[in-house]
Amino acid sequence: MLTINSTQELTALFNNVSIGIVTINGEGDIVMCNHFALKQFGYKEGELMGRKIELLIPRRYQHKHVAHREDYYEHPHKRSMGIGMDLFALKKDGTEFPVEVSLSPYITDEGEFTIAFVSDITIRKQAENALLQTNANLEQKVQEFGALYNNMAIGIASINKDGEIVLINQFALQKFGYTENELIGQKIEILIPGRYKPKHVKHRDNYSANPHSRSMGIGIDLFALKKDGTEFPVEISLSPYLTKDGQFTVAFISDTTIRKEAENALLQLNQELEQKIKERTESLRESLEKEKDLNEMKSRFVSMASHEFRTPLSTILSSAHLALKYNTIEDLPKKDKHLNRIISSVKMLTDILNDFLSLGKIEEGKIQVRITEFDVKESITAVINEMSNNLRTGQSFIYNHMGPDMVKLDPSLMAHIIMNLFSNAIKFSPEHSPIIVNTVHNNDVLHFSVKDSGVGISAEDQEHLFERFFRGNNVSNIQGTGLGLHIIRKYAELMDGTITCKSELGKGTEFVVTFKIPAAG
Amino acid sequence: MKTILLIEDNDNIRENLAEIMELSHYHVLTAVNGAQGVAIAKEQKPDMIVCDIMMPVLDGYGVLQALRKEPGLQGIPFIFLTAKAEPTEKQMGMEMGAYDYITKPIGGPELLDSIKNYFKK
Repeated sequence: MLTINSTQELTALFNNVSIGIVTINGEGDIVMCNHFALKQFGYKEGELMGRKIELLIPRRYQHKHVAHREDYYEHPHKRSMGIGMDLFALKKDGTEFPVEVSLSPYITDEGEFTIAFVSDITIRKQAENALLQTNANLEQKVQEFGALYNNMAIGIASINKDGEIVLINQFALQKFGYTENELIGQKIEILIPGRYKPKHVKHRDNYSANPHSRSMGIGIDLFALKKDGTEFPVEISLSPYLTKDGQFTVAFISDTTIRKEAENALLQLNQELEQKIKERTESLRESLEKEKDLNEMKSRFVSMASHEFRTPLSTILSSAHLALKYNTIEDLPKKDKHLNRIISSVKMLTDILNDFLSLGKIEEGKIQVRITEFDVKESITAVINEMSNNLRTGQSFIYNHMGPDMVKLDPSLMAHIIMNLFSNAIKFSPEHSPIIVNTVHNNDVLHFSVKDSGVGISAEDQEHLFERFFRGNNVSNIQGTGLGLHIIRKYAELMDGTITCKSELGKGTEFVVTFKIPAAG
Repeated sequence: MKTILLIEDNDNIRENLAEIMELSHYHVLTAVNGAQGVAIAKEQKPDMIVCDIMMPVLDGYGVLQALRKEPGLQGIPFIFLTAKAEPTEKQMGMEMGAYDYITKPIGGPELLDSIKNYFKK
C-alpha cells in the first residue's frame, strides 16, 4: 500500500487526480484548486484564488447557493451536494456542464474550510439520457404491442410446457366468454370439447417434444369450447418460443364459423347446381328418348304400312289378272272367286286405312262418344254371324250371356271392340279350336270376355300389348298393323272401361273388357 | 314340264300365283311356311323355288340358307317374292344367292317373265 509521506507526493496526487478539487473558506472564497479543476472550468493558475465559489456556478443558482453555503457552515458535515437535483457548473467561457459535487468540511488553525470534489458527469448524463430514451421507446413499443395483442381479430394464447395458459388476449377471452383470471393457469384443454381432450393431451406432449411452427389438425375440422358449453369451428396455428422461464407455445386461434358457413353455403349451392344439371340432363335424355321413340315408331309405321298394303294389293292384282283370263261360261265361277277376292282385299285395305284414321282421331282427341241404350247380346250375336265367314276350318264361336241384355254404352265403339277381339282370336288360333265368348251383366258391371286357344302372348310382350304399332315377337310373320288393341283400349277408356289380358305362350289368350254400366232405364 | 315350288303363307296370294303358273303350264308345288317348303324341296327336288320372306315357323332367308347347305339342292334357282321393298333389303336377298327378287304387290306377269327368262338360258 502506498503511503503518502511527503508534501511533494501529496501535491503531485492533488494536481494529477481526475477529479476537480476546490477548497473554500468560511466566506466562500476559493483558497485552493487543483489543475484538474482549472482545466474543468477553463481558468489559468491563480485566476480563481480569492474569488467567491459562486463564480463557478450558473447565475440562476448563485443566490440560492449563497444561502445553502451559509446553512452548510452552521452544520458542516461530509455529504454529497444537491441530492436528487441536477447540478451545473459554469465555465469561464460561460458554458455549463453537469457535475456531481461532494463536500467535506475540515478545520485548521486558520479556520473552517470546505473541500469540494467536482466530477464532470457530462458523459454519464449523456449515457443516462440515451438509456432513458431507449426505455421510453421500449415503453412505447410495449404499449403498441399490447394494443395490437389485445385488439387483434384473432385469439392468441400462450401456454407453458405443462399446457397451462400463461397469457391470453382480449379477443380470445371474448370469443371463449371467460375473464382473464378464469383462464390464466388453467390447462389449455379447458377450451377444447370433451371428446377431443384425451387426444389433445397426447398431441400436446408430442408437440412439446418437438416444437415447431405449424398449423394444427390439417385436414381435420377443429372445434373449440366456450364457457357456456357451445362449440365453434376453429383454425389454429402454433409457434413455439423460448424465454428464460422455459419453453412456451403461442396458439393463434381463428373462428371459422363464418367461413364454414360460407363453405357450406357454397357446397349447398354446388349440390343444388349439380342436382339441376342432373335434372336437366335427365329431361334432355327423356326428350331424346321420346324423339328416338317417335322416330322408331315412324319407321315401324312405314315398314308395317308397306307390308300391310302390299299383301292385299298382291291379291287384288293377281286376282284381277286371273279374272281377265276366265272368259268362258265354264270358267265363270273362277272369275267370280277372283272378283270376290278383290272385293274382300279392298275391304281389308279399307279396314287398315280406317285403323290409321282412328289412330289419328284418337291422338287428336276427336273421337265422339255417343252413349245410348242397346241390346248387347244382340250386337254380339250379329257380329258373330257376320264374322263366321272368316272362321278357319273347324273354328267356332261359343257365346254365353248372363244378366240383363240392355246396356248403356256407345254401340259403334263397342262393335269395333267386339270385331277386333274376334278377328284377333280367329287370326291367332289354330283350326278346329273354339272361340269362347262371354258377357256377364250384373251389379251395374258388364264383363265381356273373348278366349282363344291360340299362340298366346309372352309376359314380356303383354307389357307392351296396347302400345301403338306393337306386335308380339311370336307373330311378326302374321299380318297385322299393331294398331287394333291400341285402338280398342282407347275406345274402352273413352267409355270408362278397362281391358285386361291373361295369356300363356302356346296355350291361348283371354281378353276381358269391363264397363261400369249405369242402371238401365 | 318344269316343277316350281311356291312357298307363301298368305292363302290368297299362294292360290293366285299357283293358278297363274299352272295356266302357263308349270307343275306347281305349294307350302304354307318355310319349314314345310324346305321339306318339300328335299323330297321333290323342284326345278325352281319361289319364296316369300315374312312367314311363320321359318322365314324366306332361313329357307334359302337351309337349301344352300343341302348338296342336292344347292343349284336350284331361287326367287324371293316379298313385301320387303327397300333397296337394302333387295340387295341383301340377292347377296344371299337369289336368282331374282320380286317385290309385292305382284300381279303374275312379272313372276312369269322372271321364270321364263331363267329357263330360256
